Amino acid sequence: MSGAGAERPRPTFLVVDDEPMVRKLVARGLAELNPEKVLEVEDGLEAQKILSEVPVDVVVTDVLMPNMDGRDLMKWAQEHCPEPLWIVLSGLDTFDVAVDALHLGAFDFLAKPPEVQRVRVAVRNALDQIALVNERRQLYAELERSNAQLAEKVEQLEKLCQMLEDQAETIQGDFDRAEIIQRALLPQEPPDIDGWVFETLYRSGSSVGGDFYDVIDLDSQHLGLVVADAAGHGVAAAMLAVLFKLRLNLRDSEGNLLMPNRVLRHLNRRLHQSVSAPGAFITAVYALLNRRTGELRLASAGHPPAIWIAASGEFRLLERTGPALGLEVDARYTEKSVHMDVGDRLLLYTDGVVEGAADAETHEHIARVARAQTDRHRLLRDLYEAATRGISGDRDDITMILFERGEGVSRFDDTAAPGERQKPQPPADQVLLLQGVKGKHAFLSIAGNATWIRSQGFYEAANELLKRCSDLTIDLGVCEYLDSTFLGTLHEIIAARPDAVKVQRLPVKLRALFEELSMDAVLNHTTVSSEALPEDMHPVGEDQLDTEAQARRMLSAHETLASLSPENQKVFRDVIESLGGHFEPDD
Amino acid sequence: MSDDGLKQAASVIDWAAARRLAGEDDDLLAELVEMFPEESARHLAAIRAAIAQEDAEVLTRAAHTLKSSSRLFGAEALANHALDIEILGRDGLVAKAGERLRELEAELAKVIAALREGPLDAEPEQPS
Repeated sequence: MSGAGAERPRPTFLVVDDEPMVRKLVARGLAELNPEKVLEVEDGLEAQKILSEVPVDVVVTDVLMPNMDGRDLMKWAQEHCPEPLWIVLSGLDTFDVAVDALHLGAFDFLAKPPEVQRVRVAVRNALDQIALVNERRQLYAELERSNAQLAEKVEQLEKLCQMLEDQAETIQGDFDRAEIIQRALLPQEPPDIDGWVFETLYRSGSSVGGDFYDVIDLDSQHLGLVVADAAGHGVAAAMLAVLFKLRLNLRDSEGNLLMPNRVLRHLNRRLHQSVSAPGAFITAVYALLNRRTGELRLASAGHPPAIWIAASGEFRLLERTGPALGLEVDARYTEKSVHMDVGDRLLLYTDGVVEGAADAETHEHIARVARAQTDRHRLLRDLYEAATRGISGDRDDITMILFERGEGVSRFDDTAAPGERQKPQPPADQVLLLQGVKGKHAFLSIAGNATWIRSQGFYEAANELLKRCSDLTIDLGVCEYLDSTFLGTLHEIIAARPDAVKVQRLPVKLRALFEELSMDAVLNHTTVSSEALPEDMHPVGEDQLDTEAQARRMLSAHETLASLSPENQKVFRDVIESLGGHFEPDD
Repeated sequence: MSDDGLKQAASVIDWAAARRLAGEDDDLLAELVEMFPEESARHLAAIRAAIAQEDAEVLTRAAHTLKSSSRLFGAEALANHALDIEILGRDGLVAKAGERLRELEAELAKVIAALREGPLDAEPEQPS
């Protein structure tokens, strides 16, 4: 109490005794405690009057007095004036009364006749007690203040989150408008050209894409085909694609058609002048087709090969004929040419179709797929699905143009079906939860790193499926990691419906984790054999993050884990306590 | 004064105990000594009046207070007389208490006389 001692306010004392000499003795003892006041009265009634009017810190009272004795005075004070501490003076003959007084909450009692020294010690102890109580009160007040501040901070944080969400919405709105503009660059309808059929498929990766294509009816004999892919994707790539369209010049100043090598050479120079940002470049193919003769000349600026497929089944990859646009100021391009007979096809595409694996073998594989599938529409759909299968993260734009010498209906497809439309995806290192149903058998698959963020969604999805289906298999074949909340949640789901839930394709490292945490219920419901997942596995809906439900989920999951073994109890005790749970070790 | 007188005075009150009570504060002790005759006279008067009016309650409390005051000076003999009367009062035996009054008064006179003489041990206690 050394620190608080210096700032203590000076105390006020009250001495209650009918014997003036005893009062004098006690008052002398108190005088050395630096009091504000030492008040003296003869009996309980007078003491009541004082206590009702003056704040008193310590009362020293006799027991046996006329009018109102010490015990009655304390009883009254308990109700009407609970602040002071009480020290009771008592001889041996009134000892029982003194004990009563202690029961009434007296701080101490002094034997009569009281020694000055003892009075001093007892009252000093009482003052220390008062200081302690005050200090504790102050600490509580401070704590409450801190809590209030914390609550305020949380509120500010929530507001900040709301602001970020609003901004994200604004940005998304900008993206959506940019997408509309960017789509306006793309041809709306295929040109109607006798003896030639066109089929396209275009899907942007994020909402705005950097791919560009066009089919241009140049004159009665000629047709131009362009496919371009600006580096990267998103807004920057889309701007590059816009620039590409602006700078694309297919005729010279006198209106004569330019050959593909010249078109790319001019385009390269112009783009190089206007774009000097690092990493800003465009790959492109320009093909000039004589629609009467079927002669096709083609130049390619760093673009994936065009594939020519003869009606006979023979195919050729038409590789790049120069560097990507915007990289070298004086780049030159050669040309390749093929003759297209009736039934011959040419496939142009961007590298989103091969997604990274851009080796010759991949392109030849595409060529063989293209040769085998004669249905043009199906072909492009198949290639698109192959390119996007298993990709959960953000992917590149995808553009394909297939044209064929022959009769048929041309079609430009640049709009994804509602289910196919790509939503913003979590980064690849996060979890993908997929669900699907075969008959009465439901499947849930956890891919990647599963953390608490999706645990509530997973829990709800499992319960929802269990309502509709008799069996639920949880597939962990491509699961990398489960955090403790997910582990506990998994255990809860199985423990709640051991008759219905099974785990399959459990990776070795997860099995080791289950064993370490004594997750017997999960291990006992893990099958050795595995069933194929349904065809129509689709993502579990992103739940709105209900923080309260999430906190409950975390607490429940950790409590479940803690209940499995004494080791788990130790490991998760702190987590549970910090989540506000009552930790009850089950002995 | 004779040796006898000295011994008697020493047993009537206990100066050492009184000084300890007063925290070795001689000024305080002197003030208490000065107050005693008047206070004790007041209690004695109350005791007499209570006996005359046969008021056991007042008798008990007055005797109790006189006892407490006596013990301030270690006047054990006087305190014991007062205690006897207090007990009689508590038992309602007021007349019997009256019979003990003389002894009380005699002892009180001795105590007051001894207090007037003052602490005889300005020097340390003498071996007898």
